[in-house]
Amino acid sequence: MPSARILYLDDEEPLVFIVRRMLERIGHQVSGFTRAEEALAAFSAAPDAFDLVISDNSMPGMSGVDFAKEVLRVHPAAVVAIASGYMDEKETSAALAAGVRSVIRKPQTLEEMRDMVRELLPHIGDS
Amino acid sequence: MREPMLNEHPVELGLKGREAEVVARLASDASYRAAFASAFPGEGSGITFEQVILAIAAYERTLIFGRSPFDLYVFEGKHDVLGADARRGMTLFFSERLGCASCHSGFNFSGAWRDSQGATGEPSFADNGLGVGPMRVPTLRNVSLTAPYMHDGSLPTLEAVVEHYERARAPGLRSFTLSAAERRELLAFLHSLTDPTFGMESHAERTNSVSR
Repeated sequence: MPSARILYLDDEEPLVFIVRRMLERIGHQVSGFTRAEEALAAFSAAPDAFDLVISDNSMPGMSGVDFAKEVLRVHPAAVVAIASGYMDEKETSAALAAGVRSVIRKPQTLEEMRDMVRELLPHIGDS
Repeated sequence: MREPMLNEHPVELGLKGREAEVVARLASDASYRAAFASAFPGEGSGITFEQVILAIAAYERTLIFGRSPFDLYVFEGKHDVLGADARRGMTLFFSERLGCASCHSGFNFSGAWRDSQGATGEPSFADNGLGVGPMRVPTLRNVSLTAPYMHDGSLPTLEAVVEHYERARAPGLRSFTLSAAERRELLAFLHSLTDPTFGMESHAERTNSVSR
């Protein structure tokens, strides 16, 4: 079964390092970014190169929800999830209304991350 | 190093303008004089503030960790390393009821918001309930090893810190009461943030421990 090609964005570099390693260990390919504008540039250059986009929400410069809106503007069929340390119901509803497919609470365990990928990309397997 | 030592808005370590005092205090100690002379050969006998910055930065580069029970549980799927108490404590820590994670957030549990230049932003400062106004939120990683606690070292144990936050009243702090079991669970979670290999004396000791 194919692995997922995932774009992962979080302004905390250690988290990008460790989540990338976590996702690669279960068989996925990960492009990690710490800056929203760089992630957006990479996505815009090749929107079909990613099966899933996962973003933090609380970031300097651009929130995860605004980043998701930009991604969906570039590619309306993109599958976007937000992993956030804290989002209240109103923020969560706004994210889902904007087209975000899933909001997951950080810290997300290996199993929670794996289950989210399975749920959002049922046609893609993992190891 | 320069930012926490010298910044003024807000003040962190408050050493701006006191550089000469720092150097003089170190130079009054023979062991520091010898250590600086050994670390900076050929730079004369006096200690400089620049050398102090370089020395602390060199030390901080050795502070490597990442194998706390929390890390192993969350990022490596090793469920047996985190007991039931600590898992329940983790739920409490991240709950809205206690609100711990609204300040101690991010990978380092330290309110890790950074602006585009990498400087620490306002959300990394919070009131700790001791009446001195917003303070830099400290990391909770390796917190078992960093007693005494609070900005002034006034609380000797993590138990005392948790009890302080149960009583504390300040802007941004939640009011909460814990049962004895919940207090034990929250403490178990806090202790799970400490890498047992952190703080060992030598690289060899660390390597031996990790490979066991």
